[in-house]
Amino acid sequence: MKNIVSLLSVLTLIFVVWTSPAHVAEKPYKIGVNLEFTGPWAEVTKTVKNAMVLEVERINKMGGIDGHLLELLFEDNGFDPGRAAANMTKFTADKEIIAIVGPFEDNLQATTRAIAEREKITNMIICPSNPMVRSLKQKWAFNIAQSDIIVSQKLVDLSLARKYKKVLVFHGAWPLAQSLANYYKAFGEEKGMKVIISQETHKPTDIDMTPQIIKLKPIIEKEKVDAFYACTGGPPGPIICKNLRTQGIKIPILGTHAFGFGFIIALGGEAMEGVEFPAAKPVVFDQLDENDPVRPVNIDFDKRFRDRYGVGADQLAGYGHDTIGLIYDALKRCQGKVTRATFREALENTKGLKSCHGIYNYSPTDHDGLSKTDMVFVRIEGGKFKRFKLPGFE
Amino acid sequence: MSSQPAKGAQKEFRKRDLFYLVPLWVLSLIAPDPYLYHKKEFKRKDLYYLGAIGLAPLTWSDPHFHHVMVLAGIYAILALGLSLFMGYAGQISLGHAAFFGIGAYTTAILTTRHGFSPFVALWASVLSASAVAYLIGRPILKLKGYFLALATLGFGEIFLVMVRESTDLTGGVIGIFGIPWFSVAGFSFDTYLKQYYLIWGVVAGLFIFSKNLVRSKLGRALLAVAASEDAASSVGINVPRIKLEIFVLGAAFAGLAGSLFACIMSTANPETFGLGVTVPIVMMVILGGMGTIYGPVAGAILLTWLMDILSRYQEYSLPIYSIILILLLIFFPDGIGTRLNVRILYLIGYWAKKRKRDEGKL
Repeated sequence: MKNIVSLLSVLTLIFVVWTSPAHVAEKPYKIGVNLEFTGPWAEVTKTVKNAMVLEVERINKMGGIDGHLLELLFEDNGFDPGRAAANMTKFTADKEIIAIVGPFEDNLQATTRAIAEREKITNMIICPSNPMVRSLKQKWAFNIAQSDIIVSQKLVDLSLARKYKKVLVFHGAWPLAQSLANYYKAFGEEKGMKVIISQETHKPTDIDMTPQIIKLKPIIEKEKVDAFYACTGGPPGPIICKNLRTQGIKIPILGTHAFGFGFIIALGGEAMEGVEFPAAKPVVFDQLDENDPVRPVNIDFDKRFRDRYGVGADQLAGYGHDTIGLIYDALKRCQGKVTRATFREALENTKGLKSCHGIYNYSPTDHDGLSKTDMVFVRIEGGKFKRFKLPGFE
Repeated sequence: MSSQPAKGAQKEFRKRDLFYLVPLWVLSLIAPDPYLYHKKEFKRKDLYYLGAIGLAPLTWSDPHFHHVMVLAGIYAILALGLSLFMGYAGQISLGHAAFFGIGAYTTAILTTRHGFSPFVALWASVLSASAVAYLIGRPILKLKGYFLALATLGFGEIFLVMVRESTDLTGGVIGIFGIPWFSVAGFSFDTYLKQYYLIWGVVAGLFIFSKNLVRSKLGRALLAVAASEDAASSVGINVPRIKLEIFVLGAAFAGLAGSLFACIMSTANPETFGLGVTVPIVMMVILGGMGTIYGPVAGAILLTWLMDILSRYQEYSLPIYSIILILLLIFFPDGIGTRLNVRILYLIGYWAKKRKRDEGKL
């Protein structure tokens, strides 16, 4: 008898636990993240990952989406197209995964975007830059960061406002830098500027550009170039500025949106003074206009990021924040049951989502979320990023 | 050595022995044995491998499994070609990725710009890679040892610079997109399962070819060259010619792999064909075992899966990977296949004798 009572009580206990709210919670929505956690982008992707984890935890604390929690599944692709593609198939094979984020590098995106198209799963690309891939107008791929087109347009605006007639472009030998240079030339020459793209290039791993600059010096002097466009990203940016100043070249330097990181100033020091570039809003979020809709989002996110990781949020953290923001927003708007197809529909209809980098709008013809108005002009002054306005262009 | 401990093991059979014996036995079936051709049953084992490769995708009918195995197959072709040059002829090449790239770019350019079918492009890739290997090999194969390694390394870098700079032909750093699926006479290999059978069919063909090659006169000559170039030439072997032949053959394998790779990934860009692919291929050959042809294939499968499984550990994947590689090199210095059988015999013997030794009978 005693045994039966204890057995019954145990069974009752199991039944209670089984039917308790914690157990009947809805299945989580899974998002696959396919990024370069090892290799040259390791630091970059770590920041993006931290931001994504922070946002997902916040959303889950708020109760998720109609009781469904968000879950991120991370896979490292080791900067290798084969592994990036294999991760894609791993994620697509898991029927619970509704979207895939990444990879970061251009060369890996081409393959994963093709797989996404074939397998009919949303592929959110953080850093889309390769114009050839973007021009494919794929149905299932969505871009998050500012495209090279709007960065180049913004930089042409800056050059026109500063009345630069002749600009020499020294670009890096990778797709983003190359397409930035080409778009800058195309848009600049439309507005009557003369843009010279140098034959010299550099690689992301170069630690000294003096040989190239010595070759460019005669061109700068002969052509009487008004400004020098360091069309690059990462450590080469400050190295170019330093080498230019060491060679006694005093002309103004223009940079890309990839100059908006604290380490750029730390590396370049004095040489970075006066460098101007079009930047994403998170770079100078505290200097944005009081009525700027993305200002509060950035201030809030920066505070939470600083509390958790001890460093302030930067552009990359902003991309991580915006990615999760877009997913959350689309999931909330999904019509009926959330599937890969309904998620894509909802994401494509994103309108006016205020996030760190600006206001995201997708449409069936436009999968680039941001526009030219989501960028600001920034100058490096006294070792700090200073926002400035140019009448007629801001 | 092997018969006595085996008897002991039968006599004092314990259930818990199964825990290590069964996995080790399964491993010994899967892992290649370079000495198999001395034995009679080598055909039966080859059939076993072929059956396993043929049935595996049906057992695991998961696109991810097929995809990883497709990549492993491509690496296996590369490693097989390199193994003939490194393992048999004893030369070092660090420029193998360049031939891989030449194959991929030939296919990419011919299919996307000139509308050739991938099947024609495949043969063109093989030819172009071989032709380049011939032209390069004539001068640089006169070098020996580390100098040859440096020269091939340099060739790999020169290839990358040429690809990056000749924007009109290769698309520069952006590369070429939209390469069609591989197809023969209207039959398109458009799923990973079809590609699996395509790639592993090619691997099987090349494997049989290599197996016959190393047992031919040329293969024997290669072993002689690997042992001592001077001694080989003293017995009438034309050393430079033999080295050139095997170099061109390895490049042809790489060109073939490159063409298939371009069709499967649908893109070709310079970053894919740098040292980042050469080093893993060399690792596959070394880990699989130099001087065997089962080794590189096993090494390719092992390393490809290892990287895929480690992907989930994100930023820790690379350290874990390197620790595993170091351990493998320490415990299997002659390759995973070569030492495994010896190790298993040793382990069986060790455990079988253990009780006797404990009882002081031995």
